[in-house]
Amino acid sequence: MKVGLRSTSSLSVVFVGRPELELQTPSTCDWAKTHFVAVGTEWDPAIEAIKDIAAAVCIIFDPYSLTAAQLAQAPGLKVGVLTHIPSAEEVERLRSLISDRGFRWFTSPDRGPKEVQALPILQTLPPLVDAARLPKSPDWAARGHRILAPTVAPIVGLEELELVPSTNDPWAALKALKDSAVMLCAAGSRDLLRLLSLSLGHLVICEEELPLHWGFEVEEEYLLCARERWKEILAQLGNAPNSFRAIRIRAWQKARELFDASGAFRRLVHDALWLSAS
Amino acid sequence: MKIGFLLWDVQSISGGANAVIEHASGLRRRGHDVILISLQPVPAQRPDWHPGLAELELSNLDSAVEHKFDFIFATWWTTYFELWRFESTTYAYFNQSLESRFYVDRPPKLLNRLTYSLPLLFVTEARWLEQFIGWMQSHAKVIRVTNGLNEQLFPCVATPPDRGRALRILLEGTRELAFKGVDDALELLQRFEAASDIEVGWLTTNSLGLKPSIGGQPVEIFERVPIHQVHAILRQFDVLLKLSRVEGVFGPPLEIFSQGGTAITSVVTGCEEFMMHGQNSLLIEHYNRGKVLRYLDRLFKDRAYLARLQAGAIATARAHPTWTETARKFSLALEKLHEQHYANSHLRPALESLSELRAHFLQAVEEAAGVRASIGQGERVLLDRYRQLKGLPAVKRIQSWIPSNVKQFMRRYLQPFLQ
Repeated sequence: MKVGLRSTSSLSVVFVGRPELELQTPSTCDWAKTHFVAVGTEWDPAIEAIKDIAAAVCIIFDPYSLTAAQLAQAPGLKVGVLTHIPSAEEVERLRSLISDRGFRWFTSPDRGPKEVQALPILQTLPPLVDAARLPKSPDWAARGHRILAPTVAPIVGLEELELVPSTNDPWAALKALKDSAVMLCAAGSRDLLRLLSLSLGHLVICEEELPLHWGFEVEEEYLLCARERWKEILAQLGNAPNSFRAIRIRAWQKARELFDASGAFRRLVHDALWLSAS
Repeated sequence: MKIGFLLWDVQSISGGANAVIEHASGLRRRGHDVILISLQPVPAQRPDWHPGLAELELSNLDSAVEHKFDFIFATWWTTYFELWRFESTTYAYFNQSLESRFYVDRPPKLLNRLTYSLPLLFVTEARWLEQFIGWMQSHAKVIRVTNGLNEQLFPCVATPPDRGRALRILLEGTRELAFKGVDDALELLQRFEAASDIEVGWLTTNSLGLKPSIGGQPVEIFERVPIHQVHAILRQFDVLLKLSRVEGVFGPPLEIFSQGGTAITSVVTGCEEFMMHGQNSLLIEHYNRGKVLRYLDRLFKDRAYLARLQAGAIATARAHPTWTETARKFSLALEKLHEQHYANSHLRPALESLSELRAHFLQAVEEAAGVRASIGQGERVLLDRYRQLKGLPAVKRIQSWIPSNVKQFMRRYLQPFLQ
């Protein structure tokens, strides 16, 4: 098989998943025609919508409840994207979906336990963000400050700051985040929301390190400090609004270098096709 | 025009110094008076790692300050703080990377950011840096000139040479800088199961004395090789493996492309300039390091695919501008500015102030380190206990009951006693 995704490629790639995952897939890209098909409570309508698309690759998010018969109707080479580390029971279900007409590959958000590694894992795939749907050029004015926290409990000393809802819905999160410039991330904040914040060029201040395998560097792309120091940093920003601009710019750039859906899926699709060819 | 380039030193082999020498040589070819100014003493024996060094004027800082320049360029970031010493119509910064990323400690990172605080003339080779500088310093003039490929030092091959049955892998980079990822690459290769299928070499400016083996076979080390001999080494290898975390725009992948090899590198700043996954090279995200082994295994087994990547690599190298072309572009840009009477000599006092600020800052950092070191063992134990106590959930809960205005008042009240 000749593999190589050129800019003029007529390759077609279908993404299937819950509506909130659309922001993690490329809306436009120069290496393939892409389609996103949303899945509701049932898989059948989505399968019906994709079965006649002549796609070379079909990328299906969290296919735990999909049946082998449904999967067999999906077009092209099938890659299952796992957005959380599956339980032992879920791994068993996924194993039953591996066949010639079923899944060839899976991706995992990190290395995961031994049971997960026993699946045909193509690669690690953390949350992504479709940069094409975000502002082309960020506004560097240091405006609002928000707190990203897994709970609604106010942060002592910063009660006046607005909490970002700990939502699964990235569109709602984007709306809440877009007027901010600083994001204070409490321990346990959702990965996707932290990534969105970095992608928007916020000054991201975390009280726990971002996942090391993501590759974001402390003091270069985000700040790491205990919440007791947050107020002090906000005061510093008040006095010198541009003092952390370099960190914000690099966060914006690195999110695109490594986590842009178009670039990451381009490499993934290439590898899925190449490594499947015997 | 009289043009000066400030370098940390002219002896050490580096991609950054190579780019400076290429541009300086290009300016000289167009009849300009160019001086390379080294902050380190210029050795009695002229360095010869790059042929361009034989023709360029080399000078120490003390004697170079006697000249009056049309353009004086900082290159490595610490040279920025010496610009004020020179009389020049234009103060400029040839910025090839975000060098704060070379450091783990905070003080040099903060100092490095000062180098973007004035609207100097910036020249850079990378799109991402052009964007970064433009956003950091919107009043600065920023010119991007792509790095070239030296057609004499790296003459493009027509087809990849036959390199035998084993997959020949070349590591590249110094071990002095952890972010170059040499140790990471060696560690990965140790895990390659079919070790008899690969042969490994390592091109480096400093191995720090390490003599690694992969699968019982010693890695062939090429250390401190003059640049005119590098192409002959590159030609011996199928694939360059480079897992650096920080780059401006890296040269070695393009150089091995010219010699009929492909490359596996990290997705890193600047890689997008000429590397295309699956067309001339393979790119690996930070979160996918483990894929390297799978790639190597497939490249060994799928020789047709390897040949396609190598053909794509040669085509990329052939299409890439040469240093003669890009150095000319650099010269033309400066000549145009000169004709337009572009000047920013008014920035000299600000550059001097920044240099003073840096000296005071470094002194303060040193004093703080001294104070930390002088804290006795007993005081250290007390401080640790106090921190542990502060972190207890019960103490935090009690703290949360105290209104913040009362806490602020107490802090203000106690401050004089604590100092």
